[in-house]
Amino acid sequence: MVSVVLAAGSGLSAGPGLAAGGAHAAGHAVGVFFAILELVVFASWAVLFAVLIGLLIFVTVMRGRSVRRKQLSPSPAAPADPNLPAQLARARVADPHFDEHLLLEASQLICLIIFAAMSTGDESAVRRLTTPSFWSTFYGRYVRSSARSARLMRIQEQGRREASRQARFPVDYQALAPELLSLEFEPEQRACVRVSFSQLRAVVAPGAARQTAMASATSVSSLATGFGGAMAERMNNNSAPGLSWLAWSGKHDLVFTRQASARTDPRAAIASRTCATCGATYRSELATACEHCHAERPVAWDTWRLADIILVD
Amino acid sequence: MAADREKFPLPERIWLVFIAVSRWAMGGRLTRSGTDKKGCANPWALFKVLVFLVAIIMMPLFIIPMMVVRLLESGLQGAKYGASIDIVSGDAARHGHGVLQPVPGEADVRSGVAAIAHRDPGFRATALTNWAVAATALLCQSLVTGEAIYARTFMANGLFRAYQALLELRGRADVSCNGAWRAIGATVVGATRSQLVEEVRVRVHCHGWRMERHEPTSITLRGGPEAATWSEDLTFARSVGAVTPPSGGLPASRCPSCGAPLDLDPGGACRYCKGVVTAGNYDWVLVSWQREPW
Repeated sequence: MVSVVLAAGSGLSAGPGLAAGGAHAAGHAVGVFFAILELVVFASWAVLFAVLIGLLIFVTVMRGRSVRRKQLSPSPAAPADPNLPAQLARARVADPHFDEHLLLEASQLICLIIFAAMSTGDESAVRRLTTPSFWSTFYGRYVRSSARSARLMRIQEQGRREASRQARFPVDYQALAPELLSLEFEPEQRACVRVSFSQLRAVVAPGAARQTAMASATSVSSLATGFGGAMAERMNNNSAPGLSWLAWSGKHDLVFTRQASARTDPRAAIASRTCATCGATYRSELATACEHCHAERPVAWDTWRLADIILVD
Repeated sequence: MAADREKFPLPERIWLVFIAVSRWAMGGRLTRSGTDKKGCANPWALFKVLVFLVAIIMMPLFIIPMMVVRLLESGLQGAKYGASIDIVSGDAARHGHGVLQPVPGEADVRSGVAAIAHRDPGFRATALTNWAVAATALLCQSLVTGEAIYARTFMANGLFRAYQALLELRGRADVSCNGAWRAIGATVVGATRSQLVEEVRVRVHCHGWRMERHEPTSITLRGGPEAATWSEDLTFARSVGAVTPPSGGLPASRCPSCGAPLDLDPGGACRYCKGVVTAGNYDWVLVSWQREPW
């Protein structure tokens, strides 16, 4: 009886003890959870800063080196194939409607369409002019990533006040003097065209000058100054939007391919101006389909597609 | 926005969640309707501020996946590419874009013109300078109205289509151009011949005013209402096999293929003979147009 009472008593006394232990365990678990979360958040901030700063410093230092190297010993770009006239004659024999001007036109327009895709985020116009393999080349990945960034930025800016909104928009683009460099026929037809480009974008935002200075920094100190200034202006709610500019220029080699057996259809250049289905004239160079009947727009340069873009150093 | 989100891969969508949460927490009034409690005294505002702070603290967790995926995508090559392109900013960018090429010596220009004239006795450099003056008036009209079609009769197909796309891009970005200018002189400043093409560069001196504005912010981007003088380079090119047509060709407003009065469709084909005459196979066409930085 006593033992029963004792057992009952101990049981009674063990009840609150167990509850306290459970609460303690739960509290401990919560504590561990928050400690882990704290660690993860701290580590993620550390990783973020390390990667961002490391990348910025790497790019800035590399850019500085590249600028100095170009100033000291500018390397001439590879010249056109000396056998090009003979290759062109061969192309015309095999394909009576072959016209190198189509490729030159394509190069000028494609450069602008890529610029448009990276500015507006809409890469659909580029997709129909390229081979599927283009998107696995470095430049293809770069275009896709830049277009995605532009789309993300647009979404980010939608929620901001008008005064603090950041706008980056294209003002001018020059794709100059396209030049046919080489022509190959096997295993597939392959043409390389060199284009000089120069593009100008305006940036309208609080701290625009600092932002653009950061983008073109060639030393760690100029990078730090630009970054600090841009962040300060951006966080100041009373900052008025400023105007600044970003320009970049260079030369690109555009590689076009088509099947070895492909021949030029002389109607292709004309067909790209009016819709073959409803007869409407395409009013936009960036349009991929007829705005009236939504039929897909043919490509002016027939079966040639852009396979790669190589930056000429 | 929903349509945009569908196109994004998972790491970007994670980042968009962060943007949506922080925008919600920061957006709108901090007080609920029906309550006069403002700021931190309002539990709703306090809750939103708390959510915002938590979102900010945890921001790297949202952005790191996107960053890592992008770094893996572009790799070292991406960083090298970013470092190798010539980027300039600020006034250096504005005044460095479109710098006209230096003019070669007069003797070089003269010998270049003579080489072209030797192969094509009908070639007259003055026909191109006069044409460049006329083209400048049409370019002014085209830029001010935002309509590329004014440039159809003298631009090569590639340049025209790129120009048309650029005007469209500027229109979408609400960049407008106003002004009135005309050519007050034109001279040949370059004449070259390669294995495929002949090129003649004409420098046009313009006088008038021009101004570019960003309409949403009313910020003047370039230029102003004051009169000024500046230069533009117009480069005309044609295939090495082309010769000046008896009718005078495009500079004389005639179809270089059939000789009919010039009437082109938007694709640059003559409406009479259907020949695509703006490709540079038949006659001179404008292949590049550069304006002095402004």
